[in-house]
Amino acid sequence: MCDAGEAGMSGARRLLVVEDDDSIRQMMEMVLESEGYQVTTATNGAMALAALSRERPALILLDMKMPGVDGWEFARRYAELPAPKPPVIVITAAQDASRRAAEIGAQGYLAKPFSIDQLLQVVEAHLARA
Amino acid sequence: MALKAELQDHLFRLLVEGVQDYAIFLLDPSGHVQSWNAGAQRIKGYRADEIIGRHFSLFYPPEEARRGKPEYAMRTALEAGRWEEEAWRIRKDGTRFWANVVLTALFDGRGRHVGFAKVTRDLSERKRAEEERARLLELERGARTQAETALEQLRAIQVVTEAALAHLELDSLLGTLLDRVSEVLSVDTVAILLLDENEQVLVPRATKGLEEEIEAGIRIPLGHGFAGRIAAERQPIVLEDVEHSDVLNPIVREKSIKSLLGAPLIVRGRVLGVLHVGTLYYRRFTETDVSFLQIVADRAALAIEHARLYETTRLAREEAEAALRAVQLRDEFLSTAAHELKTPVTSLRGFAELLLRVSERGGELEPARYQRAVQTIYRQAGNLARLVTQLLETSRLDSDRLELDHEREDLTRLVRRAVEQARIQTERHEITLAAPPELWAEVDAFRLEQVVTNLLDNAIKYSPEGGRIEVELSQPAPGWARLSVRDEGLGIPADQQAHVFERYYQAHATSHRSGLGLGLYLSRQIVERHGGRIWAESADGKGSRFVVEVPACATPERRA
Repeated sequence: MCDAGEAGMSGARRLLVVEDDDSIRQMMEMVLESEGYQVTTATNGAMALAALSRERPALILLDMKMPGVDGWEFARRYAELPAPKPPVIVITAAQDASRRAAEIGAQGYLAKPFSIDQLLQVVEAHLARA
Repeated sequence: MALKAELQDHLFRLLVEGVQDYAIFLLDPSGHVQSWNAGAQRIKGYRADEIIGRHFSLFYPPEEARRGKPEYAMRTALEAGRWEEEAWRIRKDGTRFWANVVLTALFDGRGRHVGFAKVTRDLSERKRAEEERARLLELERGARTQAETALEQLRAIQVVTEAALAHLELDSLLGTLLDRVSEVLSVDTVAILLLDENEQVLVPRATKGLEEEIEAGIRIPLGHGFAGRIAAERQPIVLEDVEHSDVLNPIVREKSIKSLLGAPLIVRGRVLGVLHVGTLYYRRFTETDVSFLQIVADRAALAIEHARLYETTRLAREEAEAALRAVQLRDEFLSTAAHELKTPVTSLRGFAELLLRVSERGGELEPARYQRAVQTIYRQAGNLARLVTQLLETSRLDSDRLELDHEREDLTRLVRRAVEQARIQTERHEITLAAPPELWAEVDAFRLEQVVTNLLDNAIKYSPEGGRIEVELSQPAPGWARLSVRDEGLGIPADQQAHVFERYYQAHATSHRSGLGLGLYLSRQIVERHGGRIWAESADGKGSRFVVEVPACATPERRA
């Protein structure tokens, strides 16, 4: 149900990856790009919010523990943005990843360390639903 | 006129005869009763017809009459005109009464002695009243003294009670009790012995005037000696003559204490110990002293019990809090450790899978991407190995199993190796090394390299903007090697510098992902086990310098 007028700035295959660890962020970017996704990256919540003001991804992959604006703070500010909004997938090393997701009202979660297949499945599942 | 004089005479006789309170009567010059009035009859018991004509010596106690007191009285009255005394007199029925007697010699107009006027007053009532008053005064004085003593004791008990309530800490409580008891009972020594329930012995816990008791480690078995008997019999004991008694404590004898009084410390039927007081002179302790000491002992026992309960509660609470803190710290650490381990594993696994996937599909990553993937795998494998080592080393330290393996090593080579590894880790930092061609020391190479690597990791991690990292190895003094690592990063706030070597401590925990909080803790343990030291120098925001010094070989060993 994407707005055709904004097609240039957004797209069904654009993703926003918010992750402070360089290695993980680069890995995710490389994996997702090799599958044909367009990836925007941010190293903290503030950068992610800035990216959202410029473009409209189909899905947000969000790390929780980050310096500065962390996952929780990002979620609080994100909730105040007008709908419709892309779904959020929480990426966490916490034991109870599903609870983390529930805490901030995210649509899905991915527990570290995840396999490439898990990453791609979660992304595809949520894009298909959208 | 004659009639008038006669009337006056008559009136006067009536007056005299009518007076009830005084015996007024006349004696002839030889002492025989001539007249009698109503007062005389009332006081002495004789009717006029019984007594007139009798000699007045009849009124004196027989022994005084025999000694010639009546004659002496008459003679004196005749010579001086008047004689007066207060003395015992005898009634008709033989009973005595205390009398005021005035004997006045009477002379007629021509100066001839015609007799005596005698006025006697019964002072028995007054005397009884005076005696009663004296008795009452004595009673009152006694009562007042008693009241004052009671009040004083009450005050003393109050002082002891207040002391008992005011001090929850046992030592200060006992100290105060000793002072108060010695003041109130005016004794030279006070001692509190507490019962060791396991050993069934009394151990001096607090003393005044018997301080040597505690130092000497005196232990008095229950049931033996003065204090032992008090505790066993649960009764106060008075020893007025210590020298000839069964006192066991050599200190008491050395101090030549003459008298002792002791009372058991009992609370809820349980003997806690003994309170005893002593004097350097022979003293007869009164019943009041004994009951006072027992009252004090009862309050002291209760206070000691309270202090112990308070102490037990406090210790239990502290232990519980410490245990809770330890559990919290461990939980936090485990969660941090899990996070720290999962982070390198995530990228390592991801890149490895990506490489596998691409090759399975018969494809190829472009060279830059391929290099980044392999480099990350390599670096994260190293990181993982380091984290695991840190965890293992910490666990070894905890169980005291960290054993160093000393061997002769060239520190220059060791440091260069670590620097080269670190250069692979980062592209944003320039790492320089200044070192002598070689510097030999007896060290555990594996552990010391861990220290160097850790300092380099920190320098990289805490200078996120990049910059220079200067590594310097030198010999500040013969027999010593010094390594310093200087960065241009965040630095350490002054208030945190003392803590960076503490376990789990993370100076920038909130703003930066900073590992397990074990690196510097382990580094310090390793350096100190080498007989060396490590410290940090830093100004907030202006970078840090970490310095390690360890013993080195005095003369560098030249390789052939």
